[in-house]
Amino acid sequence: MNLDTYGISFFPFSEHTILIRFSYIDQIELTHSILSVSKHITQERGDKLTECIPTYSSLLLYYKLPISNISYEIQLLTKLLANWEIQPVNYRRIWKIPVCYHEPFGEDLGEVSQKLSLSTDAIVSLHTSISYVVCFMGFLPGFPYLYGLPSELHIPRRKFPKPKISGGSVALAAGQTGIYTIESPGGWYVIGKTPIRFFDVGQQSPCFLEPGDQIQFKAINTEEYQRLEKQPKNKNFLLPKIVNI
Amino acid sequence: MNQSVELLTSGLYSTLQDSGRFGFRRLGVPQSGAMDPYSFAFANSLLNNDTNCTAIEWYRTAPILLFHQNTIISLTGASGNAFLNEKPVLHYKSLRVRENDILRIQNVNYGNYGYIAIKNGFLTSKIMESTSQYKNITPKFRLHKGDFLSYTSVDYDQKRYTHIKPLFDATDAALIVFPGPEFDQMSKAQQKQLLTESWTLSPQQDRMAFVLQEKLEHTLPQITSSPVLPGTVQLTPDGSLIVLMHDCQTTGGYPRVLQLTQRSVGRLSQMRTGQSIRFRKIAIKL
Repeated sequence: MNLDTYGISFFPFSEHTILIRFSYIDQIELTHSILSVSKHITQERGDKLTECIPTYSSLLLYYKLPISNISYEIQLLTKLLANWEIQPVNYRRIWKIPVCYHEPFGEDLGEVSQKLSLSTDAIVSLHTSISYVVCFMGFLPGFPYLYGLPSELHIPRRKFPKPKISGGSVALAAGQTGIYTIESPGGWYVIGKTPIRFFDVGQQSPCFLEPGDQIQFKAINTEEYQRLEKQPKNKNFLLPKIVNI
Repeated sequence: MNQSVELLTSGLYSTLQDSGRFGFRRLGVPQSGAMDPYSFAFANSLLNNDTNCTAIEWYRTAPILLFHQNTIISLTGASGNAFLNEKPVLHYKSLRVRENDILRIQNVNYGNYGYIAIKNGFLTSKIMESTSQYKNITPKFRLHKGDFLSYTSVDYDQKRYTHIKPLFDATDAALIVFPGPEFDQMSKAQQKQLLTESWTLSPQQDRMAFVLQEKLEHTLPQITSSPVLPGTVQLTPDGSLIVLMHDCQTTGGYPRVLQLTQRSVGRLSQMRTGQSIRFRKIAIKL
């Protein structure tokens, strides 16, 4: 692969880490490239690594031991990627996530409606109109950074964060949409709530989402929300649709 | 209650810590772990413990502990006048503890974070491969008055332990740093200011971050959410410098101008509000 095409550069970040930066433009292609590179490096250097951490435009390699010879390691990684091609994605998992946009769940929906000059129905139909790509998790345990929010729903962060946003809140800010997996202070606008638990320390794998997956929100009413909330693992919804592409 | 220690007071902010939670960063789970890894490891070494044994970490004010069984403990990191019952005891030494002994540490005059390690560690279950307490990961995120912590009782055997004085370099205020990923986006004048001026520690310091008092004027744009680590120095839009610590989030959107070495993160954790620091930049050898 030609590293220049993706604008790939290596940055020694700390004793234990190397940051691989990408400067490719399209976010979906970028996320697939980062995940493909992550998989390849894990296969080839996995014995030296604790983990690889993707974000929007970079991949952090976290080594088990302090890296003793960083220039050697960067040379090795450069060669590893130069003699290999990014693997095309041949399937994707799409999760249908139920969201109740009604009061009291969509507590900021009225405010967003005013700020964006859109009816609440229009907001809900735009928000559920497309599937979002899970780029990575960060900010909170299991919090998915989702790409693909329709531009009509772009709204800046609040100037002053709210002290408490409850777990399960589906929110908008900074041109993005996301799900507060656990209760936290936050500067995003809450437009709905999902009964699905996105982070569960009691599970073998605490997150069912993986970067590269897609999410499609589905509007549900209050009765449906209450019914799903009572199902301990919300099992019916935890089966993704696998789509070959 | 057998084989347990009881917290008669909680201290200001006490937690259970091991060396940290590694391998879950990609899920957005913070690293956590002892704020001063050097003092933490030292405490365990004094007891011939595995270096990752769970210890109590306290901030500024130590909890008062009542031991219900014989054991051996050690005290490192932040220090003051320590007493077992009414008898003065030393930091950086293995200490024999008998049934019903009470440990107090008063007049804490050095550092922020103290460690109380116990022979073979406190018994607590690992969650995601670590015992370090963190909100929404472990059932409790800090210790409270009236908590009981379990341990395996052992009898003291003097021959096996020593008293070691640690080498402190506390008089040197310079923290060793690497340039951060966005360091080069600053102007030469801003870089110079950051690296030559001295910076004061503000009252805002906790397990997530230490914030510096003075501002650095700049016009750097925010970045898309990118990886951050303990020791990452972020520059906020209003010019505040935030040094991230062990409980920090895994990603952040502020420019990352510097990265402290691991040793410097530990040293900073013991520096108090009002103290001034300087950054000394070194290149990672290429």
